[in-house]
Amino acid sequence: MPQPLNLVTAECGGQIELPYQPGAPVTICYEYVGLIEQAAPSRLGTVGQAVVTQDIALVGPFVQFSLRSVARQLIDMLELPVWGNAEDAADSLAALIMLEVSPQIAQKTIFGTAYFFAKAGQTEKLDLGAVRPHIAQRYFNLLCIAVGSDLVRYSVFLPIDRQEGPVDLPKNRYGHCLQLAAPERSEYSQIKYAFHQLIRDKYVDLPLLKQVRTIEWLADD
Amino acid sequence: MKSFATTAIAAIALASLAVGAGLAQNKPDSSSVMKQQTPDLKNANVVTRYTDWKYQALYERVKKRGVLEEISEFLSPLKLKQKLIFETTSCGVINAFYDPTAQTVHLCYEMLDWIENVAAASPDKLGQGSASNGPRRGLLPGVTRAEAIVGAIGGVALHETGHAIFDIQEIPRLGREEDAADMVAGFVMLQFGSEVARVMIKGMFNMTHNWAAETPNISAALLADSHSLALQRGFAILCLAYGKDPETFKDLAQAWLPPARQPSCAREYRQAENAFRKTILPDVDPVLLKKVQQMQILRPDDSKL
Repeated sequence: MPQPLNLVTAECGGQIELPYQPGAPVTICYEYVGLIEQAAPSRLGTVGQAVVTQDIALVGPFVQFSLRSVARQLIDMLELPVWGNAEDAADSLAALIMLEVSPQIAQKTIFGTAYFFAKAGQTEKLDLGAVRPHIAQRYFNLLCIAVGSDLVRYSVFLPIDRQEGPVDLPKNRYGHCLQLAAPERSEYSQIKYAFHQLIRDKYVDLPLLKQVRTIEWLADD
Repeated sequence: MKSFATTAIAAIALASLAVGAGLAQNKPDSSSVMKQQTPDLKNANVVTRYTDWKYQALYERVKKRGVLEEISEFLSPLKLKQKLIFETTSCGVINAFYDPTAQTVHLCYEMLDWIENVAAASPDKLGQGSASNGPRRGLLPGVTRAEAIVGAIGGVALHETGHAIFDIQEIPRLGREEDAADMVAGFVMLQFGSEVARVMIKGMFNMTHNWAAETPNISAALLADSHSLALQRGFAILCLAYGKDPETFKDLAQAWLPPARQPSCAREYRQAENAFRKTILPDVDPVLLKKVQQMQILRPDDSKL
């Protein structure tokens, strides 16, 4: 990184998230964590066909929020070329990192984030003028990248041989996500290619990355 | 890579030509107005073809105006890695799309027809949209028929060209594919002076308003779609324009863009500019680009439509 990136946890005066400012510290608001806790099940919950424990429902969206907030700052700090919405780009990078650490970490964080997004999507007002897409759109984007990375693991979100539910990835979308005839065109492959071209090959210390991947992240305890 | 600019011009030309074609029924042949081509403006990797006779009148008008031939000229600064085909055709649905397996941009007559007869029509002639209390279809107040047609067709062509350039030039996209193509279209529209930019942005916004009017109920399927919602797309493109040139687009932003979005527009435009500079500009021939940018985009007849 060309300059330091500060990470802080803070009370944000009732806001769940501070408005994005390039160069500002990445701030994780206690209010956002409170929202995650509020949405989490007391023991077990479900999002569509997926079963989610309380731990997963707490850890997943926290990790997603942290990664996407760091990614959003890095986009500006590294002056990455972003075609499309930079907020979506940050979400996509977070999803990719969650998926690439290990299959176990991926499942925990994707299921947990999906659970939180689905819950939060029930109450978030649709603001078409906002820079950031509605949380329901972010939910489907997350699932789209996930099923493109591992169809079997995330097939619980696909209405195959059963009726489509409200939190399933609809048929009008999942064909694009899977791209069975040309997997290299899936949204997962697309973000992975962009990550490699624009970030990994230019800014990542690969031996250190290897070490990072050997760490046991998000152990059950 | 290639020139957005070139692409843009091609698309804009296509738009104006198709528009001209659309109105040609009521006017004498105006083909003499166009043809500003310079002999060296030609992209050897662009192939053009007109197909289908289902929409005979549209087919003849578009072909007579030489729309696709001009696209090749307008794309001349773009050093394409492979062949790119532009085709006007009948698709059976209102659409335009890029087919990566055939590296072909399909501009469907149905889309051109819908733009002419719905998006650019008087709301009074169309009646209410699909929802009795939803937004009305047709021209927004302050948008002329010519702007609606030129801007919409140009925007659609640029959007699809954006997909093609991403694919053929192997440009990495961190954002979502459809938003990325919209951003290419919006950015290019803004590179030919304020007069052209206003026409294009107004027409494009008017089209997204009409898409929104045709789908007033926002379902889970719409939220899950690979495209953003119609008005989200319209706001994003208008925001780019306002971010680049707040003076020129002040009135449109006041009329159509939510105030809470406006402060981020300059940053959004800088983002597009950065993406263009880093991913496309390296493959653009600067001399040819300059020539293309000097071409006449809007023609006298366009404003009389």
